Amino acid sequence: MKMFRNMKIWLRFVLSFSLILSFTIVIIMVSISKLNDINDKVTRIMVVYNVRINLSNNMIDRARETAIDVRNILLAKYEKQSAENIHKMIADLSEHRKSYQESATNLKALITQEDPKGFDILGEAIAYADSVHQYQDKVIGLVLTDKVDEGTRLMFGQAYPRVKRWIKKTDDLVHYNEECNALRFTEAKEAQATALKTMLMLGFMAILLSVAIAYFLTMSITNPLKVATNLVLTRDLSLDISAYQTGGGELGVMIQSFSKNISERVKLEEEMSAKALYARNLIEASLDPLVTIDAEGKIMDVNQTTVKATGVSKVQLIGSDFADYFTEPDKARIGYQQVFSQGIVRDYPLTLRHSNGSTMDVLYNASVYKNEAGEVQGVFAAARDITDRKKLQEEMRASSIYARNLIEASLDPLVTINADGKIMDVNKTTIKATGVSKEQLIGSDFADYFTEPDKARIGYKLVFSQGIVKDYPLTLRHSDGSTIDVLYNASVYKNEAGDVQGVFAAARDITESKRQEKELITYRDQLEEMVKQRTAELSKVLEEVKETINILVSSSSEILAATTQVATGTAETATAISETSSTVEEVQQSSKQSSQKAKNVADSAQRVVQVFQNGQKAVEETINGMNKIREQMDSIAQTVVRLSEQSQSIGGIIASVTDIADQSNLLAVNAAIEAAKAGEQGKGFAVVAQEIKNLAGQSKQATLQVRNILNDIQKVTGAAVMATEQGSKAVESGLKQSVQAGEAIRILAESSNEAVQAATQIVASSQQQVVGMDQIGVAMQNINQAGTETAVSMVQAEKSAKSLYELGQKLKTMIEKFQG
Amino acid sequence: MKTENRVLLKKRAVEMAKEPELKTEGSEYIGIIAFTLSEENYGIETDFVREVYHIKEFTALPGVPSYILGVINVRGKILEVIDLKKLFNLPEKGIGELNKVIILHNDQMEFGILADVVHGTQIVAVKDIRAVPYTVSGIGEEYLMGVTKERLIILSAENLLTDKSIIVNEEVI
Repeated sequence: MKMFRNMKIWLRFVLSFSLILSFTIVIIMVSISKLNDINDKVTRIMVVYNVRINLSNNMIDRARETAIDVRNILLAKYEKQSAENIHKMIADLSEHRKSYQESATNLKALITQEDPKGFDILGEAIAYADSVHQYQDKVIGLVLTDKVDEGTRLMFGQAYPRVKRWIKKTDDLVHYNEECNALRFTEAKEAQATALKTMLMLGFMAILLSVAIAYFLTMSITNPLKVATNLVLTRDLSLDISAYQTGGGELGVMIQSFSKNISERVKLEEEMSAKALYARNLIEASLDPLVTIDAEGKIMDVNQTTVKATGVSKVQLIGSDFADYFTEPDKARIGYQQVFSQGIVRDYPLTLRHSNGSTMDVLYNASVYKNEAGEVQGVFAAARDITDRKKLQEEMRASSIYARNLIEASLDPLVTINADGKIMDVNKTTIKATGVSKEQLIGSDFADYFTEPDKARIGYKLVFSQGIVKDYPLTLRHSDGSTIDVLYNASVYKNEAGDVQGVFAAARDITESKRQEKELITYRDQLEEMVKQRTAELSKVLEEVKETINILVSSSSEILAATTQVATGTAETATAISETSSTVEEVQQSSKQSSQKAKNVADSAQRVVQVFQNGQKAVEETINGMNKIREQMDSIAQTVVRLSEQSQSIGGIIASVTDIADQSNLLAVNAAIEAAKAGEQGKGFAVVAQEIKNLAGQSKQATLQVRNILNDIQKVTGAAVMATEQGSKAVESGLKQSVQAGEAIRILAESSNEAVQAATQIVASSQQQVVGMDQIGVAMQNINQAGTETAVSMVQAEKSAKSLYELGQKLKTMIEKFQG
Repeated sequence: MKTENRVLLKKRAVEMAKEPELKTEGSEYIGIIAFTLSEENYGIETDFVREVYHIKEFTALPGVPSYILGVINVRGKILEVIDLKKLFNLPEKGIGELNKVIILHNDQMEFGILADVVHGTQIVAVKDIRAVPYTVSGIGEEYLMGVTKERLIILSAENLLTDKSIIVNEEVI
């Protein structure tokens, strides 16, 4: 198969057609040989057997002729014809014999040893011929010697039978040849049939082979073509285009190169589309609204961000006027016209208007884009949202003003110094403290404004080296000569890059605080004296108080414990009450339900009673009906019995009629006998007797029919009697059952009446129960409310007790403190 | 009158009309009474038949051969009855209600023979009666006259009447 696939197409054609051609040749050869065979057989029939039959027939004719010749000779002798005539006849005879011998010889030549039966028959025939010839010769010899009578006798006695047998044998030969003929004909026919069959079979096989070859050939060409078509149509590269599928022929090679081409093209297309998709994704992923505009200012394409920024769908955006989406459409129009004229525009401020009315400040960067030929196609514009940036700037400005104000508002002299010790900035308090204007201060040496400039210089250098200095004491000198003692707190400040920019220093005026400190020391000494005296008195009092408090604490703790217990108890009681009340509610609910159920039961029991009464009535009617049926059945039974009796009496009558008929028959026979005795006079009577006999026969027949009918009637009547018997029995049992049913229904009705009464009582008592349960429910609710109130007040009491206890404790602690 | 009946009557009339053949010239024809014995049809010459009698009761006789059924009373005359079935070894059917007795007689003898069914009188040409074939089994050849084309076996009443072997003359000691 694989070899066939890889063959060249011309080779496939040559192979297939040569196969078909060789097969056809075989068919033709076989047909010719078969036809020859048939022809041979037919020829044999035509030639050999027909000749044989002819010869045999000839022999028969000659035999007959010889026999006739002999007879003629005899007759001639009888008629005393001339000797000349007789000799002529003898000559004829020998002529005929000769002819016979010729035929026999010919036939012998034709019937060879291969056909033993034919040979035998022929041999026998010739033998008979010889014997006949001998007798005939004898006859002729006798005739010639004038012994005619003797000759005649010999001829009839001996020669004729032999002639008959001879002719018979020869006839057998003819028949045998005819049989052979028929046999050959049958063989020829069979051969023809076989040949026809063989030819048909071969022809059929040839057709099959041709079809198969045509199919395979077509498939081997169309399959690869189909694969190629699929490849082109679907571009499915997963298709098997290997040599197995397409074969190694011209088509296979063509398809493989074809598929290679297509796969390369597909790969190229895929790459390109991937690139385009990447570019598109980049555009879509941009957080800036991007848009392309044509020369008339219409939007050609937008990204998702633009859709979001404008609040308009992409479909609506494309084709609409670019300028329409801004608060100042004219400015926007000028903007993109500028792009077309200059090729590029940067940071072009515009305000984008959202469809919901909100606006967005944007800066537009736009440039023209060109096609491959270098012609301007449109403008690509990218907006940047600057709303946040603007806000940030505002905030920053506000915060810096605020910081400045804070600094200015500070009561401490604040100052910033650079690395050289020059003042960079000051606040108003510094101006006040130094008495020098701000302009003079800025740029002057920081150390110049202190009584000890060196110490000040060391101070700020310390800040630069350590990063921070706290409570550095210095004395500030005012321009009017007065001094202020200050403590300096200073730290370096850095720019955004983390480089030290300078020192920020804050001074605190401590002149006043120093003076107050001195006064305070004086006061403290006095107070200590007084406290010592008081303490002595107090400790005495405290002892007493402590004792009292101890008692108070212990009793209050006891109160607390008791109250806690009570509160717990009350809470538990409240819980129990609420549980009880919920239980009572459930009971109430269930008692209501049971009351409802009891009512339903009473109602249904009432209905049952009604049904039972109806049932009783129906049963009574049934019993009445049954009684009527029984009466009817009784009368039917009587009628049937009567019918049976009457049919039996009919049987009796029939028997007697039969008897009469029989006797009439006998009488008729006797009458006939009598008539026969009477002879001629009794003839009329015999007829009458015959008539009577016939009548008797008829009446017998009729009685037989009647008996048959009667038998049927009796059978049916018997069945009817049985049926009536069964029917009356069934009615009896039905009656009994309906009486029982009536009894059962009556008892049931009684018991259901009792059930109704009981149900009514149940309803009444359950209603009372419901009322009682309602009352219990109300009471339980009251109890519950009271319990809840008690619990609340107990909680309050507990709280008070607790606070009392805490108070005692606190007092105790305080007292202990005092004592300590 | 119904057509059927008319046809029937016509048929009968035709049958009756073609009697000329039945001229009883000399002994060319004999009248017989046809009867049935065990499904076989028999005939007996009318000349020897006195009458056909319906057997109502009979008296069995002791000490007689089995083919003698017994004696009957026919209008005051006591006659013996022979059961030919026994005599001819035919299968027994029993005496039913329809059993008849054909009373035969000649100058010396008078007795009855039992028949199952008596069909009536017929006239048979003597030339139609053929010799009895050997196949008729069990029947004493001496009692048979011959068989007709219709397989009606004609009994020879004369032979029956004159047969001495039927006469019972046994002495009981």
